[in-house]
Amino acid sequence: MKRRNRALELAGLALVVAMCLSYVLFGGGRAVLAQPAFYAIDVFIDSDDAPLAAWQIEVSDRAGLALLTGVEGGEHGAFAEPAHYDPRALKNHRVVLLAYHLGEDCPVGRTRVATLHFVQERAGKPSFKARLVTAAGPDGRVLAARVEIQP
Amino acid sequence: MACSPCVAPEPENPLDRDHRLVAAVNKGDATAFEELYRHYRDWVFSLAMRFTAEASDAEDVLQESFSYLLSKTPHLHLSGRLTSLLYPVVKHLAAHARKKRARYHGDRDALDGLTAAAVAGTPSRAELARVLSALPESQREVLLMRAVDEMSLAEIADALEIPVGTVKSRLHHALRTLRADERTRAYFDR
Amino acid sequence: MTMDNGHENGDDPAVPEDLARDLGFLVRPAYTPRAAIDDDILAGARRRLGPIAAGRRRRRSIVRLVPLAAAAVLLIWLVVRPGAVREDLDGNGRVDVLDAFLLARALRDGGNLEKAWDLDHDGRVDRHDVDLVLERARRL
Repeated sequence: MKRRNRALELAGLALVVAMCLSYVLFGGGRAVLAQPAFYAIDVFIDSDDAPLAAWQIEVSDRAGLALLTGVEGGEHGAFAEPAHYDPRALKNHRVVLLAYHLGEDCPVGRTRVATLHFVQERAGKPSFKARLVTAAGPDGRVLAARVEIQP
Repeated sequence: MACSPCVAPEPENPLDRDHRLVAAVNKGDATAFEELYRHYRDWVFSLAMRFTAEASDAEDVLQESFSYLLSKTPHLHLSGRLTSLLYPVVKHLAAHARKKRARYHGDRDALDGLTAAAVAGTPSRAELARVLSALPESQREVLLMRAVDEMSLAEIADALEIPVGTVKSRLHHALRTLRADERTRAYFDR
Repeated sequence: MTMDNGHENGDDPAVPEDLARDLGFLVRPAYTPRAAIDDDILAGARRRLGPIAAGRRRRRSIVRLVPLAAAAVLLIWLVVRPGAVREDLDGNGRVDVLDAFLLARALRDGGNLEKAWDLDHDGRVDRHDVDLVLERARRL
Protein backbone atom coordinates (compact mmCIF):
# COMPACT_ATOMS: atom_id res chain seq x y z
CA MET A 1 0.00 0.00 0.00
CA LYS A 2 2.76 2.44 0.96
CA ARG A 3 4.68 1.46 -2.17
CA ARG A 4 1.64 2.11 -4.37
CA ASN A 5 1.02 5.51 -2.79
CA ARG A 6 4.65 6.39 -3.29
CA ALA A 7 4.44 5.39 -6.96
CA LEU A 8 1.33 7.52 -7.42
CA GLU A 9 3.05 10.50 -5.82
CA LEU A 10 6.06 10.13 -8.10
CA ALA A 11 3.85 9.78 -11.16
CA GLY A 12 1.95 12.92 -10.20
CA LEU A 13 5.18 14.83 -9.71
CA ALA A 14 6.51 13.63 -13.07
CA LEU A 15 3.30 14.74 -14.76
CA VAL A 16 3.56 18.23 -13.28
CA VAL A 17 7.20 18.50 -14.29
CA ALA A 18 6.39 17.32 -17.82
CA MET A 19 3.59 19.87 -18.13
CA CYS A 20 5.88 22.67 -16.97
CA LEU A 21 8.61 21.60 -19.34
CA SER A 22 6.26 21.34 -22.27
CA TYR A 23 4.86 24.77 -21.52
CA VAL A 24 8.31 26.28 -21.46
CA LEU A 25 9.58 24.40 -24.49
CA PHE A 26 6.57 24.51 -26.73
CA GLY A 27 4.60 27.40 -25.38
CA GLY A 28 7.57 29.75 -25.75
CA GLY A 29 7.47 30.61 -22.15
CA ARG A 30 4.98 33.33 -23.00
CA ALA A 31 1.46 33.72 -21.83
CA VAL A 32 -1.29 33.45 -24.39
CA LEU A 33 -3.11 36.74 -24.78
CA ALA A 34 -6.72 36.82 -23.69
CA GLN A 35 -7.50 38.68 -26.90
CA PRO A 36 -5.18 38.42 -29.93
CA ALA A 37 -3.78 41.79 -30.95
CA PHE A 38 -4.10 42.92 -34.57
CA TYR A 39 -1.95 45.63 -36.02
CA ALA A 40 -0.41 46.90 -39.21
CA ILE A 41 3.02 48.14 -40.13
CA ASP A 42 3.79 50.36 -43.10
CA VAL A 43 6.74 49.60 -45.31
CA PHE A 44 8.51 52.51 -47.02
CA ILE A 45 11.21 52.53 -49.63
CA ASP A 46 13.24 55.67 -50.21
CA SER A 47 14.94 55.83 -53.60
CA ASP A 48 16.12 59.46 -53.17
CA ASP A 49 15.50 61.21 -56.48
CA ALA A 50 15.52 58.11 -58.66
CA PRO A 51 12.25 56.55 -59.92
CA LEU A 52 11.53 53.23 -58.27
CA ALA A 53 10.28 50.54 -60.64
CA ALA A 54 11.07 47.26 -58.88
CA TRP A 55 11.84 46.25 -55.33
CA GLN A 56 12.21 43.24 -53.08
CA ILE A 57 12.35 43.24 -49.30
CA GLU A 58 12.26 40.81 -46.44
CA VAL A 59 10.39 41.60 -43.23
CA SER A 60 10.61 39.46 -40.15
CA ASP A 61 9.76 39.49 -36.47
CA ARG A 62 12.87 38.40 -34.64
CA ALA A 63 10.90 37.79 -31.46
CA GLY A 64 8.76 35.22 -33.28
CA LEU A 65 5.50 36.65 -31.97
CA ALA A 66 3.80 38.40 -34.87
CA LEU A 67 2.09 36.29 -37.51
CA LEU A 68 1.39 37.73 -40.94
CA THR A 69 -2.27 37.81 -41.86
CA GLY A 70 -2.36 39.99 -44.95
CA VAL A 71 -0.54 42.29 -47.35
CA GLU A 72 -1.95 45.57 -48.59
CA GLY A 73 -0.81 47.66 -51.56
CA GLY A 74 1.14 50.91 -51.40
CA GLU A 75 0.25 54.57 -51.73
CA HIS A 76 1.48 55.16 -55.29
CA GLY A 77 -0.49 53.83 -58.24
CA ALA A 78 2.55 51.89 -59.44
CA PHE A 79 2.40 49.69 -56.35
CA ALA A 80 -1.24 49.96 -55.42
CA GLU A 81 -1.74 46.23 -55.97
CA PRO A 82 -0.47 44.10 -53.07
CA ALA A 83 3.09 42.94 -53.59
CA HIS A 84 3.86 39.33 -54.45
CA TYR A 85 4.64 37.10 -51.49
CA ASP A 86 4.74 33.41 -50.66
CA PRO A 87 1.36 32.33 -49.23
CA ARG A 88 3.28 30.13 -46.81
CA ALA A 89 4.35 33.36 -45.16
CA LEU A 90 0.84 33.72 -43.80
CA LYS A 91 0.87 32.72 -40.19
CA ASN A 92 4.64 32.89 -40.31
CA HIS A 93 7.08 35.33 -38.78
CA ARG A 94 8.89 36.19 -42.02
CA VAL A 95 7.83 37.32 -45.46
CA VAL A 96 9.54 38.16 -48.74
CA LEU A 97 7.72 40.85 -50.69
CA LEU A 98 8.42 41.94 -54.21
CA ALA A 99 6.81 44.04 -56.90
CA TYR A 100 7.59 45.75 -60.15
CA HIS A 101 5.91 48.32 -62.36
CA LEU A 102 6.23 48.46 -66.14
CA GLY A 103 4.63 51.89 -66.63
CA GLU A 104 6.41 55.22 -66.78
CA ASP A 105 4.83 56.72 -63.67
CA CYS A 106 7.12 55.41 -60.97
CA PRO A 107 7.32 56.90 -57.49
CA VAL A 108 10.32 59.03 -56.55
CA GLY A 109 11.65 59.61 -53.05
CA ARG A 110 10.09 58.01 -49.99
CA THR A 111 6.97 56.01 -50.75
CA ARG A 112 4.88 53.52 -48.86
CA VAL A 113 5.03 50.34 -50.92
CA ALA A 114 3.03 48.03 -48.68
CA THR A 115 1.21 47.65 -45.40
CA LEU A 116 1.56 44.36 -43.58
CA HIS A 117 -1.11 43.09 -41.23
CA PHE A 118 -0.16 40.96 -38.29
CA VAL A 119 -1.80 39.17 -35.43
CA GLN A 120 -0.11 38.52 -32.13
CA GLU A 121 -1.43 35.76 -29.92
CA ARG A 122 1.25 35.60 -27.24
CA ALA A 123 2.48 38.23 -24.84
CA GLY A 124 5.69 40.03 -25.55
CA LYS A 125 7.07 42.70 -27.84
CA PRO A 126 7.63 41.88 -31.50
CA SER A 127 10.95 42.97 -32.93
CA PHE A 128 10.46 43.79 -36.59
CA LYS A 129 13.32 44.00 -39.00
CA ALA A 130 13.19 44.93 -42.67
CA ARG A 131 15.92 44.24 -45.18
CA LEU A 132 16.09 45.60 -48.69
CA VAL A 133 17.09 42.75 -50.98
CA THR A 134 17.21 44.88 -54.13
CA ALA A 135 15.62 47.85 -55.89
CA ALA A 136 15.79 49.07 -59.46
CA GLY A 137 14.75 51.89 -61.74
CA PRO A 138 12.68 51.60 -64.92
CA ASP A 139 15.72 50.53 -66.92
CA GLY A 140 16.44 47.65 -64.58
CA ARG A 141 19.54 49.25 -63.05
CA VAL A 142 19.99 48.64 -59.35
CA LEU A 143 19.30 51.66 -57.15
CA ALA A 144 20.83 52.61 -53.82
CA ALA A 145 17.56 52.71 -51.87
CA ARG A 146 16.59 52.25 -48.23
CA VAL A 147 13.72 50.42 -46.58
CA GLU A 148 11.99 51.57 -43.43
CA ILE A 149 9.09 50.15 -41.46
CA GLN A 150 6.69 52.05 -39.27
CA PRO A 151 4.26 50.48 -36.86
CA MET B 1 77.79 46.50 -49.27
CA ALA B 2 79.74 47.12 -52.47
CA CYS B 3 77.91 47.38 -55.74
CA SER B 4 79.24 47.54 -59.29
CA PRO B 5 77.84 49.51 -61.03
CA CYS B 6 75.66 51.29 -58.44
CA VAL B 7 72.45 52.60 -59.95
CA ALA B 8 69.76 54.45 -57.98
CA PRO B 9 66.39 52.75 -58.36
CA GLU B 10 63.93 54.56 -60.63
CA PRO B 11 61.17 56.37 -58.75
CA GLU B 12 57.92 54.42 -58.89
CA ASN B 13 55.39 55.57 -61.46
CA PRO B 14 52.38 57.13 -59.61
CA LEU B 15 49.93 54.89 -61.46
CA ASP B 16 51.87 51.76 -60.46
CA ARG B 17 52.18 53.04 -56.91
CA ASP B 18 48.44 53.63 -56.63
CA HIS B 19 47.61 50.19 -58.00
CA ARG B 20 50.12 48.52 -55.69
CA LEU B 21 48.79 50.31 -52.64
CA VAL B 22 45.14 49.67 -53.50
CA ALA B 23 45.87 45.98 -53.99
CA ALA B 24 47.47 45.93 -50.53
CA VAL B 25 44.56 47.85 -48.99
CA ASN B 26 42.12 45.34 -50.46
CA LYS B 27 44.02 42.67 -48.55
CA GLY B 28 43.52 44.58 -45.31
CA ASP B 29 46.89 46.39 -45.17
CA ALA B 30 46.29 49.47 -43.03
CA THR B 31 49.87 50.69 -43.58
CA ALA B 32 49.25 50.80 -47.33
CA PHE B 33 46.10 52.82 -46.73
CA GLU B 34 48.06 55.28 -44.61
CA GLU B 35 50.60 55.66 -47.39
CA LEU B 36 47.80 56.36 -49.90
CA TYR B 37 46.23 58.80 -47.47
CA ARG B 38 49.49 60.71 -46.93
CA HIS B 39 49.93 61.01 -50.72
CA TYR B 40 46.48 62.34 -51.40
CA ARG B 41 45.33 64.05 -48.24
CA ASP B 42 46.48 67.55 -49.17
CA TRP B 43 45.17 67.26 -52.69
CA VAL B 44 41.74 66.08 -51.53
CA PHE B 45 41.59 68.84 -48.92
CA SER B 46 42.68 71.46 -51.43
CA LEU B 47 40.06 70.27 -53.90
CA ALA B 48 37.39 70.22 -51.20
CA MET B 49 38.31 73.80 -50.24
CA ARG B 50 38.07 74.77 -53.91
CA PHE B 51 34.47 73.57 -53.95
CA THR B 52 33.32 74.55 -50.48
CA ALA B 53 35.49 77.53 -49.39
CA GLU B 54 34.90 76.45 -45.78
CA ALA B 55 37.64 74.66 -43.83
CA SER B 56 35.24 72.71 -41.62
CA ASP B 57 33.25 71.55 -44.65
CA ALA B 58 36.45 70.64 -46.44
CA GLU B 59 37.57 68.58 -43.44
CA ASP B 60 34.23 66.75 -43.46
CA VAL B 61 34.59 66.10 -47.18
CA LEU B 62 38.11 64.82 -46.60
CA GLN B 63 36.86 62.33 -44.01
CA GLU B 64 33.87 61.27 -46.10
CA SER B 65 35.99 60.81 -49.22
CA PHE B 66 38.36 58.42 -47.53
CA SER B 67 35.47 56.72 -45.75
CA TYR B 68 33.98 56.17 -49.18
CA LEU B 69 37.23 54.57 -50.36
CA LEU B 70 37.28 52.31 -47.32
CA SER B 71 33.66 51.31 -47.87
CA LYS B 72 34.69 49.84 -51.22
CA THR B 73 37.30 47.52 -49.75
CA PRO B 74 38.09 44.70 -50.31
CA HIS B 75 36.71 45.33 -53.81
CA LEU B 76 38.18 48.77 -54.44
CA HIS B 77 39.08 48.91 -58.12
CA LEU B 78 41.20 51.50 -59.89
CA SER B 79 41.09 51.92 -63.64
CA GLY B 80 43.60 54.78 -63.53
CA ARG B 81 45.18 56.89 -60.82
CA LEU B 82 43.37 57.47 -57.57
CA THR B 83 42.78 61.11 -58.58
CA SER B 84 40.33 60.01 -61.28
CA LEU B 85 38.31 58.05 -58.77
CA LEU B 86 38.47 60.63 -55.98
CA TYR B 87 37.72 63.75 -58.02
CA PRO B 88 34.00 63.09 -58.63
CA VAL B 89 33.62 61.77 -55.08
CA VAL B 90 35.08 64.94 -53.57
CA LYS B 91 33.06 67.13 -55.93
CA HIS B 92 29.82 65.36 -55.09
CA LEU B 93 30.44 65.40 -51.33
CA ALA B 94 31.43 69.06 -51.45
CA ALA B 95 28.26 69.98 -53.34
CA HIS B 96 26.28 68.14 -50.68
CA ALA B 97 28.15 70.02 -47.93
CA ARG B 98 27.41 73.33 -49.57
CA LYS B 99 23.72 72.54 -49.93
CA LYS B 100 23.60 71.64 -46.26
CA ARG B 101 25.19 74.92 -45.40
CA ALA B 102 22.61 76.59 -47.72
CA ARG B 103 25.12 79.00 -49.15
CA TYR B 104 25.44 77.59 -52.62
CA HIS B 105 25.77 80.31 -55.20
CA GLY B 106 27.92 78.43 -57.69
CA ASP B 107 31.64 77.78 -57.85
CA ARG B 108 32.26 81.44 -58.34
CA ASP B 109 31.82 82.24 -54.65
CA ALA B 110 34.01 79.36 -53.56
CA LEU B 111 36.77 80.48 -55.88
CA ASP B 112 36.48 84.09 -54.73
CA GLY B 113 36.85 82.99 -51.14
CA LEU B 114 40.02 81.12 -51.91
CA THR B 115 41.65 83.64 -54.15
CA ALA B 116 41.05 86.63 -51.87
CA ALA B 117 43.78 85.46 -49.52
CA ALA B 118 46.09 84.33 -52.30
CA VAL B 119 46.14 87.53 -54.30
CA ALA B 120 46.96 90.07 -51.58
CA GLY B 121 49.95 92.09 -52.77
CA THR B 122 50.22 90.23 -56.07
CA PRO B 123 48.61 92.26 -58.89
CA SER B 124 49.23 89.65 -61.58
CA ARG B 125 47.54 86.98 -59.56
CA ALA B 126 44.67 89.31 -58.77
CA GLU B 127 44.17 89.84 -62.50
CA LEU B 128 44.47 86.11 -63.14
CA ALA B 129 41.82 85.48 -60.48
CA ARG B 130 39.43 87.90 -62.20
CA VAL B 131 39.95 86.36 -65.62
CA LEU B 132 39.63 82.87 -64.14
CA SER B 133 36.36 83.76 -62.41
CA ALA B 134 34.93 84.96 -65.71
CA LEU B 135 35.58 81.64 -67.47
CA PRO B 136 32.63 79.28 -67.90
CA GLU B 137 32.64 76.82 -65.01
CA SER B 138 33.21 73.80 -67.27
CA GLN B 139 36.34 75.38 -68.78
CA ARG B 140 37.67 76.63 -65.45
CA GLU B 141 37.25 73.20 -63.91
CA VAL B 142 39.18 71.43 -66.67
CA LEU B 143 41.93 74.08 -66.61
CA LEU B 144 42.43 73.64 -62.87
CA MET B 145 42.37 69.86 -63.11
CA ARG B 146 45.08 70.00 -65.79
CA ALA B 147 47.26 72.78 -64.47
CA VAL B 148 46.91 72.44 -60.69
CA ASP B 149 45.86 68.81 -60.11
CA GLU B 150 48.22 67.64 -62.91
CA MET B 151 45.72 65.15 -64.21
CA SER B 152 46.15 63.82 -67.71
CA LEU B 153 43.45 64.42 -70.32
CA ALA B 154 42.35 60.80 -70.02
CA GLU B 155 42.16 61.07 -66.21
CA ILE B 156 40.10 64.25 -66.49
CA ALA B 157 37.78 62.60 -68.98
CA ASP B 158 37.40 59.62 -66.68
CA ALA B 159 36.75 61.76 -63.60
CA LEU B 160 34.17 63.98 -65.32
CA GLU B 161 32.71 61.17 -67.43
CA ILE B 162 33.09 63.12 -70.67
CA PRO B 163 34.98 62.28 -73.88
CA VAL B 164 38.66 63.16 -74.13
CA GLY B 165 37.84 65.37 -77.12
CA THR B 166 35.53 67.46 -74.92
CA VAL B 167 38.29 67.83 -72.33
CA LYS B 168 40.73 69.02 -74.99
CA SER B 169 38.17 71.43 -76.39
CA ARG B 170 37.35 72.98 -72.99
CA LEU B 171 41.02 73.29 -72.10
CA HIS B 172 41.80 74.79 -75.45
CA HIS B 173 39.03 77.40 -75.12
CA ALA B 174 40.10 78.29 -71.58
CA LEU B 175 43.70 78.83 -72.65
CA ARG B 176 42.61 80.79 -75.68
CA THR B 177 40.56 83.13 -73.47
CA LEU B 178 43.51 83.67 -71.14
CA ARG B 179 45.84 84.27 -74.05
CA ALA B 180 43.46 86.75 -75.67
CA ASP B 181 42.92 88.71 -72.45
CA GLU B 182 45.50 91.50 -72.05
CA ARG B 183 45.60 90.91 -68.30
CA THR B 184 46.89 87.35 -68.73
CA ARG B 185 48.50 87.43 -72.17
CA ALA B 186 51.93 87.75 -70.61
CA TYR B 187 51.86 84.14 -69.44
CA PHE B 188 51.92 83.06 -73.08
CA ASP B 189 54.49 85.56 -74.31
CA ARG B 190 57.26 84.42 -71.97
CA MET C 1 45.20 68.50 -88.64
CA THR C 2 43.94 72.08 -88.28
CA MET C 3 45.89 74.80 -86.48
CA ASP C 4 44.40 77.39 -84.19
CA ASN C 5 46.54 80.12 -82.67
CA GLY C 6 49.56 77.89 -82.82
CA HIS C 7 47.88 74.87 -81.15
CA GLU C 8 47.00 71.74 -83.07
CA ASN C 9 43.48 70.70 -82.11
CA GLY C 10 44.53 67.08 -81.92
CA ASP C 11 47.27 67.76 -79.33
CA ASP C 12 47.22 68.13 -75.59
CA PRO C 13 47.03 71.96 -75.16
CA ALA C 14 50.08 73.07 -73.20
CA VAL C 15 49.66 75.12 -70.03
CA PRO C 16 52.56 77.55 -69.45
CA GLU C 17 54.51 76.67 -66.32
CA ASP C 18 54.14 79.99 -64.55
CA LEU C 19 50.42 80.07 -65.32
CA ALA C 20 50.11 76.64 -63.68
CA ARG C 21 52.17 77.87 -60.75
CA ASP C 22 50.03 80.97 -60.22
CA LEU C 23 46.80 79.01 -60.64
CA GLY C 24 48.08 76.70 -57.95
CA PHE C 25 48.71 79.65 -55.65
CA LEU C 26 45.20 80.93 -56.27
CA VAL C 27 43.38 77.76 -55.34
CA ARG C 28 45.72 76.46 -52.66
CA PRO C 29 44.09 76.74 -49.22
CA ALA C 30 45.78 78.76 -46.51
CA TYR C 31 45.72 75.90 -44.02
CA THR C 32 45.91 72.14 -43.78
CA PRO C 33 43.49 69.80 -42.05
CA ARG C 34 43.83 69.31 -38.31
CA ALA C 35 45.90 66.39 -37.07
CA ALA C 36 42.83 65.04 -35.28
CA ILE C 37 41.24 64.47 -38.71
CA ASP C 38 44.21 62.33 -39.75
CA ASP C 39 43.91 60.30 -36.55
CA ASP C 40 40.18 59.73 -37.08
CA ILE C 41 40.58 58.64 -40.68
CA LEU C 42 43.47 56.30 -39.99
CA ALA C 43 41.74 54.80 -36.95
CA GLY C 44 38.69 54.18 -39.15
CA ALA C 45 40.91 52.49 -41.69
CA ARG C 46 42.38 50.14 -39.08
CA ARG C 47 38.88 49.23 -37.89
CA ARG C 48 37.72 48.53 -41.41
CA LEU C 49 40.80 46.74 -42.69
CA GLY C 50 41.64 44.67 -39.59
CA PRO C 51 38.80 42.18 -40.13
CA ILE C 52 39.65 41.91 -43.83
CA ALA C 53 43.23 40.93 -43.03
CA ALA C 54 42.06 38.52 -40.33
CA GLY C 55 39.60 36.95 -42.72
CA ARG C 56 42.32 36.38 -45.29
CA ARG C 57 44.47 34.63 -42.69
CA ARG C 58 41.58 32.36 -41.76
CA ARG C 59 40.86 31.57 -45.40
CA ARG C 60 44.45 30.61 -46.02
CA SER C 61 44.33 28.15 -43.16
CA ILE C 62 41.34 26.24 -44.58
CA VAL C 63 42.27 26.35 -48.26
CA ARG C 64 43.02 22.62 -48.30
CA LEU C 65 39.33 21.90 -47.71
CA VAL C 66 38.19 23.84 -50.77
CA PRO C 67 38.53 21.09 -53.39
CA LEU C 68 36.61 18.67 -51.19
CA ALA C 69 33.91 21.21 -50.44
CA ALA C 70 33.60 22.11 -54.11
CA ALA C 71 33.16 18.46 -55.06
CA ALA C 72 30.46 18.05 -52.42
CA VAL C 73 28.62 21.17 -53.59
CA LEU C 74 28.78 20.04 -57.20
CA LEU C 75 27.41 16.65 -56.29
CA ILE C 76 24.55 18.16 -54.34
CA TRP C 77 23.80 20.61 -57.12
CA LEU C 78 23.74 17.90 -59.76
CA VAL C 79 21.75 15.37 -57.78
CA VAL C 80 19.41 17.44 -55.71
CA ARG C 81 18.76 20.63 -57.65
CA PRO C 82 19.43 20.31 -61.34
CA GLY C 83 17.48 23.43 -62.31
CA ALA C 84 18.61 25.65 -59.47
CA VAL C 85 19.68 28.69 -61.49
CA ARG C 86 17.34 28.61 -64.46
CA GLU C 87 15.32 31.51 -63.07
CA ASP C 88 18.43 33.64 -62.43
CA LEU C 89 18.00 35.44 -65.74
CA ASP C 90 20.40 38.26 -65.05
CA GLY C 91 23.07 35.89 -63.77
CA ASN C 92 23.75 37.73 -60.54
CA GLY C 93 23.67 34.51 -58.53
CA ARG C 94 20.26 35.11 -57.02
CA VAL C 95 16.67 34.76 -58.18
CA ASP C 96 14.88 37.97 -57.29
CA VAL C 97 12.46 40.58 -58.56
CA LEU C 98 15.03 41.89 -61.02
CA ASP C 99 14.89 38.63 -62.95
CA ALA C 100 11.09 38.86 -63.22
CA PHE C 101 11.36 42.54 -64.12
CA LEU C 102 13.89 41.82 -66.84
CA LEU C 103 11.63 39.21 -68.44
CA ALA C 104 8.50 41.35 -68.07
CA ARG C 105 10.24 44.31 -69.74
CA ALA C 106 11.47 42.10 -72.56
CA LEU C 107 7.92 40.88 -73.14
CA ARG C 108 6.60 44.43 -73.02
CA ASP C 109 9.21 45.72 -75.46
CA GLY C 110 8.77 42.83 -77.88
CA GLY C 111 12.50 42.37 -78.36
CA ASN C 112 14.53 39.19 -78.70
CA LEU C 113 13.39 36.61 -76.19
CA GLU C 114 15.97 34.01 -75.28
CA LYS C 115 14.95 30.38 -75.51
CA ALA C 116 16.39 29.78 -72.06
CA TRP C 117 13.64 32.05 -70.71
CA ASP C 118 11.00 29.45 -71.62
CA LEU C 119 11.08 28.23 -68.04
CA ASP C 120 7.93 26.08 -68.21
CA HIS C 121 9.07 24.48 -71.48
CA ASP C 122 5.80 25.11 -73.31
CA GLY C 123 7.55 26.40 -76.40
CA ARG C 124 6.74 30.06 -75.65
CA VAL C 125 8.26 32.83 -73.53
CA ASP C 126 5.30 34.54 -71.92
CA ARG C 127 3.65 35.75 -68.75
CA HIS C 128 3.67 32.22 -67.28
CA ASP C 129 7.45 32.25 -67.29
CA VAL C 130 7.43 35.56 -65.43
CA ASP C 131 5.14 34.00 -62.85
CA LEU C 132 7.59 31.13 -62.39
CA VAL C 133 10.37 33.58 -61.65
CA LEU C 134 8.16 35.49 -59.21
CA GLU C 135 7.22 32.28 -57.45
CA ARG C 136 10.85 31.34 -57.06
CA ALA C 137 11.93 34.81 -55.98
CA ARG C 138 9.33 35.20 -53.24
CA ARG C 139 9.97 31.77 -51.76
CA LEU C 140 10.79 31.76 -48.05
